Amino acid sequence: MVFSSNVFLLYFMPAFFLVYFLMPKKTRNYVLLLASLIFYAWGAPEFIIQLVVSLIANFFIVRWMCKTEKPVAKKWLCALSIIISMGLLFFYKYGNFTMQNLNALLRLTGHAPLQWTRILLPIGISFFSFQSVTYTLDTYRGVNPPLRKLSDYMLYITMFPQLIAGPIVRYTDVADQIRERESTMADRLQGFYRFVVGLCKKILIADVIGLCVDKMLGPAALDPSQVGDIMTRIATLDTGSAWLVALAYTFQIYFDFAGYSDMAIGLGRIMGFKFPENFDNPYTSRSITEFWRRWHKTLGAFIMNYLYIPLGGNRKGKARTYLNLWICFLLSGLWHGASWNFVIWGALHGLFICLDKLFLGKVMKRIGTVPSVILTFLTVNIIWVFFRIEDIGLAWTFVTRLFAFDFSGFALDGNAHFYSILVLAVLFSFITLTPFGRKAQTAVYSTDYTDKQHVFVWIIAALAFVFCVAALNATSFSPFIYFRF
Amino acid sequence: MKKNSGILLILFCMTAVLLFAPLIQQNLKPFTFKKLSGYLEPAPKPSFSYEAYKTGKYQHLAEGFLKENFGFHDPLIRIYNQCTYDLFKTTSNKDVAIEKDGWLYHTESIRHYFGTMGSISGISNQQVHDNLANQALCLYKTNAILQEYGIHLLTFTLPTKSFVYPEHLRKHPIGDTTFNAATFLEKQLALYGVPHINMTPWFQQMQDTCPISLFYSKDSHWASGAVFAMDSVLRYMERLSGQQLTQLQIGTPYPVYKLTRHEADLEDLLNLARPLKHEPLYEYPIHYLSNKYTQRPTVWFLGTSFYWRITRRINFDALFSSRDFLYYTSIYYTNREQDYQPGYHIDLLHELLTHDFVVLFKDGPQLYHQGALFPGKFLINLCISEERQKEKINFVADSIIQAWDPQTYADSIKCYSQAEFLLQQNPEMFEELRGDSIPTCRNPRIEQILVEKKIRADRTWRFLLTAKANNDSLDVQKTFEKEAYNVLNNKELLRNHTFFTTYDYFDLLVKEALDDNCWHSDLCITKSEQTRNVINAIIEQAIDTVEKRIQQHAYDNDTLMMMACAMDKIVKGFEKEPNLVALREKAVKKQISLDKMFRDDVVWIFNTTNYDRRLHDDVLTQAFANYRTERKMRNQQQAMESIMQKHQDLNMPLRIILNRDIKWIQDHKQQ
Repeated sequence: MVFSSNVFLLYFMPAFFLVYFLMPKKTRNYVLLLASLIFYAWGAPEFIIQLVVSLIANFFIVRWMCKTEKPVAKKWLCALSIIISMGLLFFYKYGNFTMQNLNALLRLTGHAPLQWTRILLPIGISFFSFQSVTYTLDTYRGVNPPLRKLSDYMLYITMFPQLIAGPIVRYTDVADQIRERESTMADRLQGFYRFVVGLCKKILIADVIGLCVDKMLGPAALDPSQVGDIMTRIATLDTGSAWLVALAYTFQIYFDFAGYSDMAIGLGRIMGFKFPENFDNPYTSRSITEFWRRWHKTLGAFIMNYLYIPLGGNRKGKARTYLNLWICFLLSGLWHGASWNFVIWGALHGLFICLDKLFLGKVMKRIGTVPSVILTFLTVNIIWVFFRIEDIGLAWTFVTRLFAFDFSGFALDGNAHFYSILVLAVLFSFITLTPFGRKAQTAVYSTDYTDKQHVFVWIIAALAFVFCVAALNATSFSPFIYFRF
Repeated sequence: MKKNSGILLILFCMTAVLLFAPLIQQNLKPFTFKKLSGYLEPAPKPSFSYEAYKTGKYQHLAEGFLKENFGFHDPLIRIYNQCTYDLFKTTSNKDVAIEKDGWLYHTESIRHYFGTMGSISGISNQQVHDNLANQALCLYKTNAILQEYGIHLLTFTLPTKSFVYPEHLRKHPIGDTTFNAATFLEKQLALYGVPHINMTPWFQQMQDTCPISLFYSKDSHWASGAVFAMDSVLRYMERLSGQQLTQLQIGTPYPVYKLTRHEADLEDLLNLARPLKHEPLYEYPIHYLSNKYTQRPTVWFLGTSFYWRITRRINFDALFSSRDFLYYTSIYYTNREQDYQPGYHIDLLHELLTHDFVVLFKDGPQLYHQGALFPGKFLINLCISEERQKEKINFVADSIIQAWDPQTYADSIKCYSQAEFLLQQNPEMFEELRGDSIPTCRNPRIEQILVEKKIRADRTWRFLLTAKANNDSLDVQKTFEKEAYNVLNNKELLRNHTFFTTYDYFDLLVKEALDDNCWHSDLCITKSEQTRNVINAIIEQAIDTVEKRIQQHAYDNDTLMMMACAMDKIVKGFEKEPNLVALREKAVKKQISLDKMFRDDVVWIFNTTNYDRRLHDDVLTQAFANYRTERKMRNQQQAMESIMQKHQDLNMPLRIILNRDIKWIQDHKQQ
């Protein structure tokens, strides 16, 4: 189930909040857990049992780990817990990818390929596996005591607002809130406003831009039979259209992901949870390093705390620091998807971060804010191509079209709606570079409204919610003039 | 900041109401809204099963179903569409294009203009070329065969709005404009001598000179252009048949102030919250010129909804005695827009042979699609027997099952429809239909259908069989088929066994006139104003029509009505005293009763005065019985006073009142 679906917006969400708020406070966690399991079971019915079993196993392993006095045993139990979490992630997410490449290698070396039945990727596995790891490591490090109740642990991992697409909530951030939290009327309303902001980002901006991107580049998960057609289209694409498509995708992915995070944060806030922010105007960054401090912040924090620092961070010399950084981003790319294009995407980001550390960061500082923002944005924009186009040949052809300087035509079939939304997306992405923009953003995300302001904001939020539901259904409502024969 | 203040609580409650409103509306429907226009394949209602849930099919179906059925669906779609229309002049409907000056076009019409039809139909221009060449050959053969039976085939390609009004189009991607399906078909049919009109070039010319718009800006069909198109079709029909048909006299256009919603189909499809502004609309007044030589043929139209734009402007009753319309393969309309049945069940061969004209029309973009393969269907039905058709379909279907991926064609019904489609697309798969020459084989059913057509053309025979079917509660069509079979096999005819009175006949004539007249709204308006009862006015109008026709000898002499009238005259002649004396003498001489003598003489006179049909004994007996009843009634002053009173009260012709009373007396006598 995704937030921007009718089942969620019109059935699940109203029904859940009705039951949640009608129940006594003590039982609300159980209601939330049950709803989260239903939420997950709706989208991944085949995986729910495995999820529950792995969570139970992990919970008891961690409890055992905390009770044991021997450091070696503690270490082994911690490792076992991480292996369970990451093992599931590796098996489901990278099983197909690994076997595909292994068989390709075997074929190259003249050996018979291994038999492998393709497995389906359970929804949200990348997020809840990481959360499970944070729980294990935070308790292992003694940052927080382990949860006493299995239900609380399961709730932390499976809480539906952040189950599928984050933010990756560290155990330490919500440990107290799971046990005890307060949700005032203002919190509930502000949560609703935040949810609507996210819904607008997703439905009114990302989805509209996405239509045009899909028209040019085909669906995100490309069928091998479609590659030929798309290649023909891309190979003849004029430079203007190519840049517009790349730009469109850059904004689509931002508003899509940021929208989803806003919705998650909003839903959490309605119940009294305060989830960490995931985005902070990433396209206004002046370097790739800064971009990663603003883009998917919870993932950045996770990599920093649970990968970069354990690898040695910057404590083992310059060369090792660069290597560590590069490994982190390579793995970050792989975390986004089990495909070589994601590896390239991560590797390129890692490369630019190393270059920042070497000299680029200083150069960017010297050239001033606007040029550095533009250059960083364009770099990110080009690197996104490898994220969007799974086939590396296609992605490379697309990148060559960006620099082909072919202005012979204009193939992009966009309408006024697309261009207007694209302009709005640009405006919203860069407005915080101005003082007015920063003020406006602070006002929108404010948590301190007066009653009058609440009334005003509520009316706008209610209208926006209605409009989003309308847009969600109207964009695909295309009746025929007559019956088709 | 105040916490948990009253206002916040109210806002929170309002949020709950907002979230629950669609759920309440969906289940309780407290509000009703205008339905959305256009056709959609409705999403199936999901039924829960563990298997469907496990595979995610249930969830997928549930989301699809909800998408179309959640509360406030229709008004929300309209609001969104209105916003995107006002702000960006865009629509989510892929079938409609919003162009310059607020003009709306069907998307395919634009693609046709810019030569990019192939990109959506998935068929290359070469395939369209081959397909049309094949269809033209089928039409050539069909036309030749139909001509053998005196039936005229006429085809025309409808004008495409984008070609007639390209000045309102925005810039669109340009494809291969060197190939135009309509022009190609026109050339092919001209080569074969098949009557055809390509209306697009003609409309393009007319557009320059015509003072008013031939298409409305918000509709995909022709508007006043329909009048000129029909006029040209009529003239072509006249030329083909050599008959004189009703002339259309087109006057000077007059403004229409009230928008007729059915003439803005593209606007309807935008599903906006409020109506768009329209340009001033004009229509042409039409007068129908006919005389006693004017024929009203029967016509079968096969085509698109452009047909309705003609019938809403031109009174087809004034032009055709009967016209049926097959709206492609979906719906079959018999004479009226209100009388329809599924088009899949019609007997194509029967319809082809029972009309004087077959008029086939398509619009330009449709020529790029491969559906509705009428030319192939026509040819196969005319030349191949049903048994042979089935045999061939089975053969082809079996080949498909064997040759194709069994998973793709797991459904045997799909295989048979595919086989049928292939045969219609390429009738030369039948050995008998190969080559360019006219096939010599014929469907054996043709003979029977032609006899049936002859029976239907004979009003008396038609009425007799209809009465027979009604009396015996039989299917009328089957009764006609049986009679045709009897004729072909020299068996006893049903009509000779039908009990039928003059009065029944009069009623049937009235019924027929009623069918003809009740759609002439202008004819009924005056009457209804007089009586303030529309139904009575329509019936009265029909009776008047029949009586006038009797007076004008409009019915042929072989009709029962004229027989009855002739008999009345003869009998009345005998009632004169000198004749009665002579009749009595003759009866004495022949030693038979006066009554028998009277009857024999009437029959002799009737049969020798050039009436084509000899009186059937049953009919004669009934006629005499009726006559005697009437004479008795006329002799009773009280009975006649009552009849005259009814005549005045009901304001109906005396003949009808008399007929009804006689029939009532006869029926009660029998009981």
